[in-house]
Amino acid sequence: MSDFTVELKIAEKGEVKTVRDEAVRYLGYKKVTPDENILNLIGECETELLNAVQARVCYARTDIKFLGENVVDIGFGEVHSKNLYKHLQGCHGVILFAATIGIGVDRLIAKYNRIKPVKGVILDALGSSAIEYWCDVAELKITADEEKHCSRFSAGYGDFSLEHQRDFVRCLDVMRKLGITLSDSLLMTPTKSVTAVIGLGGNARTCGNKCMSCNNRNCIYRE
Amino acid sequence: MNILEKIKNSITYFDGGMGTMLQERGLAPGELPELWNISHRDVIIDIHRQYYASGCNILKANTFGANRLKFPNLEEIITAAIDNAKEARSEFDGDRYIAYDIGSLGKMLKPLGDLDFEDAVSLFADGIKIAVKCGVDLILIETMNDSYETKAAVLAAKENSDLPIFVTCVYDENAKLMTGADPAAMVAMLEGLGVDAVGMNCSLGPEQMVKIVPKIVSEASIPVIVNPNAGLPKSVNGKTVYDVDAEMFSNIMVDIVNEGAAIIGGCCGTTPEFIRKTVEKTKDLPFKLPEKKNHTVVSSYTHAVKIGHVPILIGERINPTGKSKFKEALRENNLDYILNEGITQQDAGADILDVNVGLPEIDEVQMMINVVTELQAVSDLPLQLDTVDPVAMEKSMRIYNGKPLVNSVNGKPESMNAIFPLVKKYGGVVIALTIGKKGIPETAEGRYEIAKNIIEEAERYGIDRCQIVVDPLAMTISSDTTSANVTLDSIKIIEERLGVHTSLGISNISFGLPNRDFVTSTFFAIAMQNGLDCAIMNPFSFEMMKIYHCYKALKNMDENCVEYINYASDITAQSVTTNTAKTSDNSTDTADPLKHAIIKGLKEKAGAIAAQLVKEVDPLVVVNEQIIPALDTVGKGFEEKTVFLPQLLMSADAAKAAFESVKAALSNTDQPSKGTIILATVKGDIHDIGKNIVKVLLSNYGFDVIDLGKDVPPEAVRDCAVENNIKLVGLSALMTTTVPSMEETIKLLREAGLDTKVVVGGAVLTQEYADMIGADYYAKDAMETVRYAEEIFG
Repeated sequence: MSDFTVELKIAEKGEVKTVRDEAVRYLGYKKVTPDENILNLIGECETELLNAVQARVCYARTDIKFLGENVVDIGFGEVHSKNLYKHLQGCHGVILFAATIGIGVDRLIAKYNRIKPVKGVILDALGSSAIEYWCDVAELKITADEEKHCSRFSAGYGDFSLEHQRDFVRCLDVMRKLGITLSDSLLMTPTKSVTAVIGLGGNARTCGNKCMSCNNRNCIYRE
Repeated sequence: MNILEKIKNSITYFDGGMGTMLQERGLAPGELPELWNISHRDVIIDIHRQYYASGCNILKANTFGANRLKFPNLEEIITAAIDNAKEARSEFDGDRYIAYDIGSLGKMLKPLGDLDFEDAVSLFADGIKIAVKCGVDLILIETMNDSYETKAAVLAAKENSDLPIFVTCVYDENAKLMTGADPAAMVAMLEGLGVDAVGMNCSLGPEQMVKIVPKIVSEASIPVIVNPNAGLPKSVNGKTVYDVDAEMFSNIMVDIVNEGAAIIGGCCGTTPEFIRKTVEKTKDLPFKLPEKKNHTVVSSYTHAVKIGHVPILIGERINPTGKSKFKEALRENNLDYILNEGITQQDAGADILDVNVGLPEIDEVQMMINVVTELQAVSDLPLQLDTVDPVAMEKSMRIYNGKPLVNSVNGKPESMNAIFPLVKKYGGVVIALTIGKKGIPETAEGRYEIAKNIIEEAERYGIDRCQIVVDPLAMTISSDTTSANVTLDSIKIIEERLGVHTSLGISNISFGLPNRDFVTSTFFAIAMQNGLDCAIMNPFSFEMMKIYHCYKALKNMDENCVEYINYASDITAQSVTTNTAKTSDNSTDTADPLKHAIIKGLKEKAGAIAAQLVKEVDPLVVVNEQIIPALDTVGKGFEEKTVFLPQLLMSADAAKAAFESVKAALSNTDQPSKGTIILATVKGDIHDIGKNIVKVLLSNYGFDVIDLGKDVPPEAVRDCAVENNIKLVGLSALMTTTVPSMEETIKLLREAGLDTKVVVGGAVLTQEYADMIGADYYAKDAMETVRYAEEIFG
């Protein structure tokens, strides 16, 4: 197998932003603009959140082996997943990817959750938008030299079992590099963290609309 | 020479990286290096040998990731690792030591994660007991990025061995741990716990670390350890390359020694070559240990607070004495109220929060644990643990994430016998009250004598006098007008003759007088002038904060008067805002101003209008004709998707403020509750935002909510339901992985034979899931839960 190097990058100033439209959508607004009171509150939360952010990403390139129908090895050993298998068709390698915006955001959310729930809810939504933004920025940087690559595919998508969170955590040494830990029920802390696999080359499957390509048709956030 | 003598006499060398060397020998990504202790014994012994040959003194046994979570055969793994190290050592003479190496468990502790503090202690203890049996020279706790987990590991080491304890943490380029602590906070906590050497490793290369060394050396009184990486790893042509080579590394290690590091070595990416060059270049450098600092310092999980420079404000409001609302909150287990007192004091300028939750009718030990745990989730201020119950004191010192201020010890032998062993074990600065066997002496000399005795007794326990802050007791001048003078004289002579710092529970001075703040704040000013270092005080008192800011500005403790200007400008701004608010109040006058304020989510306004209304109208009429209809309007809007979640919560907040005004007027004719509901986020799930929203709304609609919190075991829900004869339980789960605990909880409730209804909700829940696990109702949002509750209790 090829050498396996886990590289680490720390976000530079301006690389992490909140995305207000996304956050507003997470808050349940569908094509409605919140009133001024709420917008002011969102503005307040944005400032507090960005002050609490400590964003990092780590990643490693590795080989891919198609071991049989719907069975693929991306450095974890056998992964049985029709969806992942399909997503990575034709790829010559993958990037294993993990990113976080840090535990400070969790503390901030926990604090307001107890004393001012409306800010807790808004910060939670803004935090989700910020980790997505940071993942996009980091992915772009990491794949800058790649000709073609697929969009991020995470454990828990389709039939790619959430159990594989343990593999990401182990292989990328994310505890040491990013401070990400896994609970018994496979939840990551810091909450605003993402692990994913990015296929290199191949069909360069990038979903035009991440939301609509998801199998969960009952999701309340579906656009 | 034993290791403790060695580190005090010359530079001591750790070995370098293990994982990276194993990868070169074929360790696969994600493969556990500790397995190689058994499967590739020769490789491990060879690497150890190379390190000893390069001149290192301390080998890290290959046990970094060895814990019961990863290895069911823990004893076999650790024994093999230590045997391998011993085998390598057998060929070398001189000062060669073996460290039992402890890394993070890879789990976040509660409340942010799901690992209980005591479970963490016991996981660490398992490995330590085995290592002690095998025979090692020291315990190294390394690569820690959380102060709380570090404390758990140190306690496990102290409780299961007499071995020296070394601790190194991972700092980022801003000199912070990933969970927020700075070097001053870590040094305070770890020296308090009595570790033998402290420092940093991993994460950064030597050139970044050299800048952080002075930050540790300037705080520490014990030897400082620095074990950097070989810079950052990069993949070049498919090979892992670190960006600092042995030559560069060893050059910078010279600077690191010159900055005051006494124990050095390497971490990821370093090899025997790095250590050999480092030993060569540094072995003849002048050896220096950090000076003894005599700092009086407490810490939280982010920062340290030093006593003895500028006056320190200790917020006194988390205390039921004389506060009926606070007592009620304690009796009702209303932690939100208590937490709010903490956060608002922090916002008002407190440096430390006093925590006193003693009330005869409650379980103080459990309450102390709960409040300290929860406070640390919402505030990063150091805490002053204030209890007369030694069990509550021990439990709270143990679970405190940092080095606490301990309130208090006094000159009676039984008090010192109870408190000093705790301070010795857990670390802490202790407030010493000048109360002796015969009570409080009437003279300053008498109080000085008691302080002196306390300090001498502390020193017999091995507690340095800089860990004692003397409180010579302020007593009201309304019963004895000489009492202020005695206290002020005591401060002076105690500081001069004993060289310790002082604190006062300052508000006592004015007890029984009108406009107490006038007297208290004036006394505060004189006391500070006499040398007072800390005041336990009310940070909401305008007079006190005014005196505090003025004093600092006048005494050259506020550079360019920046703090004073900010403070004083704010005061003007506040009065201006009040005026504007009043005008806008009038401009938005409507037929139903309270209803309007609630719908708009204007909290202060809703509270104020309700307070005014209940003076003229029957409080129940205000509830039924204003508050409830307003809530209904918002609730309906939410259901019809014209009002959204943030607005719903803001209105809930405003309604709550209005209810509180009404409640104050109702005091005697208690409003009947509509019913009591249990809410819990199920076992395994640590995300409770959704559950909290439901709680806010249910309370708004007049239901009593027993909030069991998050990660709640099924048995706890059942027991609570049985005990309180509960008709409705609400359960929340975020992930598919925690739905089984939801199912288990429902099963237990059914088995208990209760006719309890169960409503479930949460991100992954659907009607199908709800049916499958036997829930009575699936609520897709908070309003649906309210509607269902109304149906059940209707």
